Amino acid sequence: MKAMLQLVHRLSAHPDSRCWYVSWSPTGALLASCGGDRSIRIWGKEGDTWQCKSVLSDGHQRTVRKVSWSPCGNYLASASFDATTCIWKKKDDEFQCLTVLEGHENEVKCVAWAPSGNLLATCSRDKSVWIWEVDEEDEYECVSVVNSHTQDVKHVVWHPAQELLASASYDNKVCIYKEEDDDWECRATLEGHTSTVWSLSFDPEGQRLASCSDDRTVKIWKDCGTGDESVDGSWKCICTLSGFHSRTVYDVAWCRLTGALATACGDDGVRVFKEEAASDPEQPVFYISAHMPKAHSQDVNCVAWNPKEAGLLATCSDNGEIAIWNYHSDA
Amino acid sequence: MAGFSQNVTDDLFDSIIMADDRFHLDGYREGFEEGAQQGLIEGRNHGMLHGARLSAEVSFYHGFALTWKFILQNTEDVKARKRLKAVETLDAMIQKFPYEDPQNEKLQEHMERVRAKFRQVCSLLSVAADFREYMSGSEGMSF
Amino acid sequence: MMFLMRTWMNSAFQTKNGGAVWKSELRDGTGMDNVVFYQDGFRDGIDAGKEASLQQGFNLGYREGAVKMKAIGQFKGIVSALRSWCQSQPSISSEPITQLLQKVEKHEEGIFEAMRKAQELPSSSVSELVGEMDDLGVDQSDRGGSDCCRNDEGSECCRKGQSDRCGCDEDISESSAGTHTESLFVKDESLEQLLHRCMELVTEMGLPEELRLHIQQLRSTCI
Repeated sequence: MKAMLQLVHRLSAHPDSRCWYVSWSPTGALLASCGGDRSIRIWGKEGDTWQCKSVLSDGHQRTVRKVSWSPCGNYLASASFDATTCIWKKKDDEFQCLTVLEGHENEVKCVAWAPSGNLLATCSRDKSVWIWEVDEEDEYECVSVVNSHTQDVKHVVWHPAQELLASASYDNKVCIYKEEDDDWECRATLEGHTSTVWSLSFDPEGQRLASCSDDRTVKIWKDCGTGDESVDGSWKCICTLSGFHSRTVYDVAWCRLTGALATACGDDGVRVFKEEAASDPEQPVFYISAHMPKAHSQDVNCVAWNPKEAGLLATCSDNGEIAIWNYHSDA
Repeated sequence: MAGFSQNVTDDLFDSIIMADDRFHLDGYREGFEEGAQQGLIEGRNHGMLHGARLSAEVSFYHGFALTWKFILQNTEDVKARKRLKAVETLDAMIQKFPYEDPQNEKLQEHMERVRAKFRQVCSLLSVAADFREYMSGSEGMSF
Repeated sequence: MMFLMRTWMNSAFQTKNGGAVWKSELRDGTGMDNVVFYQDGFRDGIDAGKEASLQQGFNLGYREGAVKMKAIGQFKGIVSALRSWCQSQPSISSEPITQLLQKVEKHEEGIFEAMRKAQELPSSSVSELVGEMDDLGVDQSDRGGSDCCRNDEGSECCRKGQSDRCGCDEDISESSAGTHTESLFVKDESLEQLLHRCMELVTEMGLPEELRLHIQQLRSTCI
């Protein structure tokens, strides 16, 4: 059977606005979306359709750019252009704004929860990356501010198992951070993209990192070090996917369950790549497995694989819509 | 003054003498001396503002860190220890700051670290960091 | 040809008031070509000379500027920290410290302003400044740098910075801004007063004695 992307559902999630980002809860039961209408919406499946369960609209004064679930699924963090990050606590079906993290000078572009649930990273147009620590009393304290980028920082993502953080920036670079004597430090800088790096995704094992860029390519980087201590500069670009995208690649997501790599593109298309099984791990070859040319009527901003249901993919777009797809692999 | 420019001028003079032009050489020598003085003054004026701006910013952080260190050292608060540590780190970073040397390659990097630490300190102390004047004022730094 | 000659003469007078530039060979009129050669050489020389000394001048000025702002910058940091502490104490009014901070900020602005004004010196006084720079310049680049990073001995260093500033101001008063020197002295007096006021507030607020001592130390480096 040939691989394909099949539309499961299409939702007008943030009407008359942009839908910037979608994020699955750890159990895969809920999908959070955020947008230019300053709101966050929580979606859940009821029967065959997807329903809006909650609207979180009183937290932010400007666009909500990204949302991130805590690993336990009880908290949701939202990053906004109003320079703040809100932490929401889930109680039954309701969400309450627990605290507001301030400190960034201007637009917060991304927020990400570490796998341990004790750390939170935020990044901003102010060029800095902040790492926050959460204690038992739900109090958040900034443990580090890192100024390693020279421009707007677009995205932060944690390693799936280690306390290792990666960030992507308008300065065309990717930085990798580790803790060092109570302070977080940039331990490696990944250079290769020729324009803004928009997003990042670790592979299921955390050995490789995919980055996507305004230069219309996706790059795969590999940690060529032998262990935890050899992070410094050991990340090398082992593969560049070029010629597949005709516009900016805004997002990339590596499926934890299948290893498939999905991309969101400014040409309104959604693509799924797979790795040639026989290719050399040091020089992997990826092929395009499925392509939905007009997945949305405008730019696709985000792709997110459901963490529990293999092949279930959520995408969202500048036209305010969310689409949910089923990816059937050819393998 | 004559000593400092001797080597440079010697080299340049050699090439000009090849042209066998005494007048050009005389003019060059006079011009060089004049230019060297102008350069020194222009450079000094330019450097003075740069040095002043950077020093004002770093010294500000220093005074801020020292004051909070004295206050927190005398506070019996569970949270104070973490704050004190951050403040002491900031203080230590500034002590090591190479700001007497504008040509130090690590100056910019060091400055970014100090700024980052200051922002963390402000966040821990719940202080609104009104240092934007520094950030905007220093963006034009060219070293 | 006359035009060229006049241009050259102008530039010669402008730069050195006639002195050494006025070459007898040229006056003898042995050939107008020589004037052109001289002029070309002079122009090339100016560029090369400037390029050769700009960095040295920058480094020199940089250190001077850094020394000048050290005490006031630190003082502003102290007062800002005190204000943020006050704001976290419901029982203490932050009004007096806010007022003090405004005065300190104004004082700092005044020093920057004076520095900017000194840059606008007309070129005629440039050579006077050069003489002065020769006196304190190259030597200071060796000693001054290490002086200004030593905290305890900052007193000597700061005094140097201050007399230097006054030196600059005298130059300004000779040429254009006569009132400037005076206003700066008034400000210097008030810095001492501001520091004194700060120490009073520290005591009033019941803050640690070490802090008061530190401000006192800072004060002794400024007088």
